[in-house]
Amino acid sequence: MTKILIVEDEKPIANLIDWNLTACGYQCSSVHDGLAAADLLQEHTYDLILLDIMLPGVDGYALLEQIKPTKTPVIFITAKGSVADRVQGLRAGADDYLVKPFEVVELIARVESVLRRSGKGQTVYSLGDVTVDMESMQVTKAGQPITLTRKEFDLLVLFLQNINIALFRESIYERVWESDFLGDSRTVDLHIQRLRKKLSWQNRLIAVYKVGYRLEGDR
Amino acid sequence: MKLSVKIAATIVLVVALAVSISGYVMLSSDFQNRLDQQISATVDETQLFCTALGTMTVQHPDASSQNDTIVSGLLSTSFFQNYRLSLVSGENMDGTNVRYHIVENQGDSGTVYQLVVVCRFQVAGQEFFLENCRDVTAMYQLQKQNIQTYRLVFSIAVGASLLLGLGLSAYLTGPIRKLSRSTRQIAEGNYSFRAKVDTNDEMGALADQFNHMATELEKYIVYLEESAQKQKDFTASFAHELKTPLTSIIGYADTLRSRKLPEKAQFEATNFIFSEGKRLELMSHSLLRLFALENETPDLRSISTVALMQAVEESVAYPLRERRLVLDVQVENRMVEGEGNLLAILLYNLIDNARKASAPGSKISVLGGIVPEGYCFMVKDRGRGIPKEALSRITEAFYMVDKSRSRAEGGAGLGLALCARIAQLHGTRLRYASREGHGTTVSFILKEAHK
Repeated sequence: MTKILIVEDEKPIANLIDWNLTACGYQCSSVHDGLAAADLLQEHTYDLILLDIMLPGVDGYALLEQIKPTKTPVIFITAKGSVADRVQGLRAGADDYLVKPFEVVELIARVESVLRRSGKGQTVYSLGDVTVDMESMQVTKAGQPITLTRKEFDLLVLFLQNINIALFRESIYERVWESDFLGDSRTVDLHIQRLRKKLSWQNRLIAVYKVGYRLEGDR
Repeated sequence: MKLSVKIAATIVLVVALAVSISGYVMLSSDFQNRLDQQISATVDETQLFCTALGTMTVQHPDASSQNDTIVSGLLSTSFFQNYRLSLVSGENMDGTNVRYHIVENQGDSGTVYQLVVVCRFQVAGQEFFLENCRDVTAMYQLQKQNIQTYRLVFSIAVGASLLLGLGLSAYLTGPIRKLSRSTRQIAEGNYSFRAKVDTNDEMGALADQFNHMATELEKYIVYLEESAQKQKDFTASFAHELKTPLTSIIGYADTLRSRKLPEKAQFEATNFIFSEGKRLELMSHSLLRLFALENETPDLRSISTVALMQAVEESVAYPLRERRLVLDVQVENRMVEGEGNLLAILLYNLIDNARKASAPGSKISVLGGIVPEGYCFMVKDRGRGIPKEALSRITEAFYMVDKSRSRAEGGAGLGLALCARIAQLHGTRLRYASREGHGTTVSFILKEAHK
């Protein structure tokens, strides 16, 4: 099981991250100050560390120096969102940078992508008879390959990462099309319909009234 | 052209002009005087000879013969070797008896100058012209030598003045060069650079004034940089303090709307949204108050210290009781200058901070009394104290010594910034004395009201 350490002095935020990552099947532990984090890091190893920069005791940059030799991937979580701050963070050796306030979908997507890059993430998703191989980018249904466009593939992965979670149209648009949602939901609807048809997921990929879509997991 | 070159050129020009004019005047007048002397001497001599010749001719024993023969005879003596007699003058005598001119001849050994004086005289009604020639070449040669010597003197004088001019102008413009180097340095951002000029003249005064200006400018720039930095820090802290509760609110709301949560988790999430929302509200409230005070000049009135403390005591009573803290108030009743509401907020905040730092059951003292500078209020706790390195920063907006504990108490890090501002509006400032683990004393001094 993938183990994630959350170092965040704001308890509500640490708790929020914990909930959502646990729901995605990760094993999370939280710690609220730098010194405690340093102690924990000496005793345990983790697959991923979510690290706040402004911490009481020892700050995020100092902790990062301690983490570096272990080659554990790190995502900085911080309110400092300026380009200079991001560059400083990435240059210090963080694998990714998550700026507060963030949406849960974004948190999960970044966690997955960093884990995958470091070779610890899930490379194969499967639900029912559909299997998605992230490395070869191949999708098969009952052993038969299915051809998807790039956006359809991204959409499918997004749903597989958020099984049983209602995804809002704007969130979907922002994640898959990577630009701000401008109120036109037809693009999203159109792609969902095509994905449903190709995978025969009429009963799995269900519309949630006034919200968006949800991928139903196996019960 | 450079100023130093200009100065040097001017000096050289003045020296050259002075030397050449004075030399010319001196040399030529000297020459003229000597020539005049020579001329007048020769003229006198010639005239004397004429008279003598006349007399001698008349008295000659051979008086019957031709006068001109006698005169020629007389002249042929060695005594008159420079003289020549003629009956007709080559000169146009213009009615005068004496004429002279200088004849320039090219001889074997250079130019030869001769002074020729012609004198008219009559012997027994016959007109004779006596011509006297004098060699004045030596005089001209001397003049020539003088001119050569003078040329040498002239070139030495010009050369010396050139050297002197260059040296002097370099010395004079030195401070200017230093000043211009300083201006360049300062313009390049090296604000602490100063011109080192220690002359006592106007340049020294200018350099002093320049340095004074640079010092004032540097102070102002440092002040501007500091306030810009403060503004930047404030904005950064503000953004951080704003984004933190927003992250929770957005995150929990997002989780709630996307997922079916168990009832307990649902309650927890909504509770987080509520408490973080409250935190935002508190922060905006404190910030608004702080901003309002930024531009306000309070109406200072005469207020009673005891009445002020009574009002504050009422409002702190409940939170203190909750922690079982004892408030010991010993306030001398005086009239002080101040704005009642603001002073109440100030004292409330100080007591509230003392409450947060104190262990349950301990005592908080509020003392008030006359000191030489005015009326002193003192809030004293026996709590955990403030670490030394944090003391200078506690009045910064959003600064919290212990963030997590401050959060737990519902603080936003704005209380002391507000207190410091109120103190400033009353013309005083907060003074802290703190020992970690032993407690903190905060004091401020108000002006006594005039009766």
